Amino acid sequence: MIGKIYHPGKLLATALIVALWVGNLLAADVPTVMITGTTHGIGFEFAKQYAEKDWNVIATTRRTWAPSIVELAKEHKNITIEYLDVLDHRNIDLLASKYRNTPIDVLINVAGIFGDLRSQFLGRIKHAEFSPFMRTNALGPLKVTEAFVESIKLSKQKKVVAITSLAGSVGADSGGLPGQYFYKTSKTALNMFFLLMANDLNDDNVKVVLLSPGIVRTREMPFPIPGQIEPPESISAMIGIIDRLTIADTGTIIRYTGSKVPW
Amino acid sequence: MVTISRNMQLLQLVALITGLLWFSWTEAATVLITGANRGIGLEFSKQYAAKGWKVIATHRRPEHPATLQALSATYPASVVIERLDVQDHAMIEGLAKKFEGQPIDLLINNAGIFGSLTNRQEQMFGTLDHTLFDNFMHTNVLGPIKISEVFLENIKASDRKQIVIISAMAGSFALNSQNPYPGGYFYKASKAALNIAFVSLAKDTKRFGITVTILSPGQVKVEKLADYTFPGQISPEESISGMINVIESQMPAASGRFFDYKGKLRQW
Repeated sequence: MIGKIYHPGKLLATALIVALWVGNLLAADVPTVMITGTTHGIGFEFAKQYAEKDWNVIATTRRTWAPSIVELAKEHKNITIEYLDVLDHRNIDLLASKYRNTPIDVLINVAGIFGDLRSQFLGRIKHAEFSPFMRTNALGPLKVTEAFVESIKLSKQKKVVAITSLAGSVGADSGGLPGQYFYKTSKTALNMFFLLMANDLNDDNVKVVLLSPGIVRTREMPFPIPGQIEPPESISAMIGIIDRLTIADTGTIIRYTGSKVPW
Repeated sequence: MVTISRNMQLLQLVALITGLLWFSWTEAATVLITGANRGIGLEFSKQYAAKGWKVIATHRRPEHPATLQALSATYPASVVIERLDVQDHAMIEGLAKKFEGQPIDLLINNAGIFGSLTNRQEQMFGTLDHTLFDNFMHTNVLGPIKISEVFLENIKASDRKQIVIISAMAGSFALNSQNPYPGGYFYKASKAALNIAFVSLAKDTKRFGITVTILSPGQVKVEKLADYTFPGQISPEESISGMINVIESQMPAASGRFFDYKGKLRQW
């Protein structure tokens, strides 16, 4: 009797079916999101919420040993931590080739710097800080998207997102903070890159949008500001927006509240 | 009452005469132009020199270019040629030191790069040459910020207090939303970044009465485009005389706006 039940052929067939089912689940039904800058703040919260939604999460960071993301990956087996420095283009290319045949449904470019306000006031601008801003906030997301575009095209959802700021909108006249020359110019350059990519990837049905997260309380913004919101609120709202994105939204800036932001 | 009224009239007359005399005695206005050796910058230099302005014409060549030498030969008393590489911050500071205490009425940030006209692939998605990025950003964005910052005291000390930025429609989000032509990633992003930098600078310098004007020169047929024909092309003479009219009509209240060479307000 026992021999009959555990017949090797039956076992093999069952194992094969289970493996196929699991594989199918991973490959087709579970979408994949890749997020840059997941050590803390907005990127970390995106990784957490997508993991809770049972997505496959590729969480990239310059600090793969950071307790925050390591702990999160222990709790959620669907998180894969990858080392990625958006300033290192060779590193970006290598990671992209590793995932060349993996469909990536959503790419979220979060990694960025806010910098020190004091070094950006007219009259005492520290010009040496310009390049790190531009390369991190504008060129980084462009390079990452260009490198991973084939994986995005392979996917079902085909969405590319970058986190921008109202400070980068020329037409918003937000009465933004004085100075902030490098933060503002880097976000404006980012916005232009994403508008141009939206144009170029329109025929491939790749949706390219910029998201304005609101004034999120993060490590860079710890002090209380009117209208400030907590990361979970901003990020869950933005995930809702990403879920509903269509090609009609491509090439726009959308605030976490859902309203369109002027360029 | 009659006496007071007569006194008032007399006072007005005296004020008027004093004003007129003061105006005619005042030194000619001064303009500093970057990238003045050819194209748009050279035409600005020529037209301001012809208007009797004092022109500080700057360029980055090792030797003073023949174009500017010829201009200064025509206007020996009013055209000064200076070396200025907008990427060289020590050189910018050195030049500012030289002109310390001298009012500069108008600063025209013109020097900029467009990229290769023959190799368009290097600014196309998929084949972007990312090594070009820094050069674009340092020349087209950081250079004008640094120069405006360093010469701010000269501008504040002048009568007109104007800063002009030569931008481009290529940096307009409104235009690029219509996808008029592909590529030009670094050029377009640098001009968009330049625009926000000077919208910001306009706000930061409002309290000094400084007027910042961002200009699109149009499709100017400069020397390097001699072999190209494109629709809407205009001569440097037409573009620059148009822009000078726009610059002259500016008021501090309009600081930080974007106009084309015809004076039409353009969208960001």
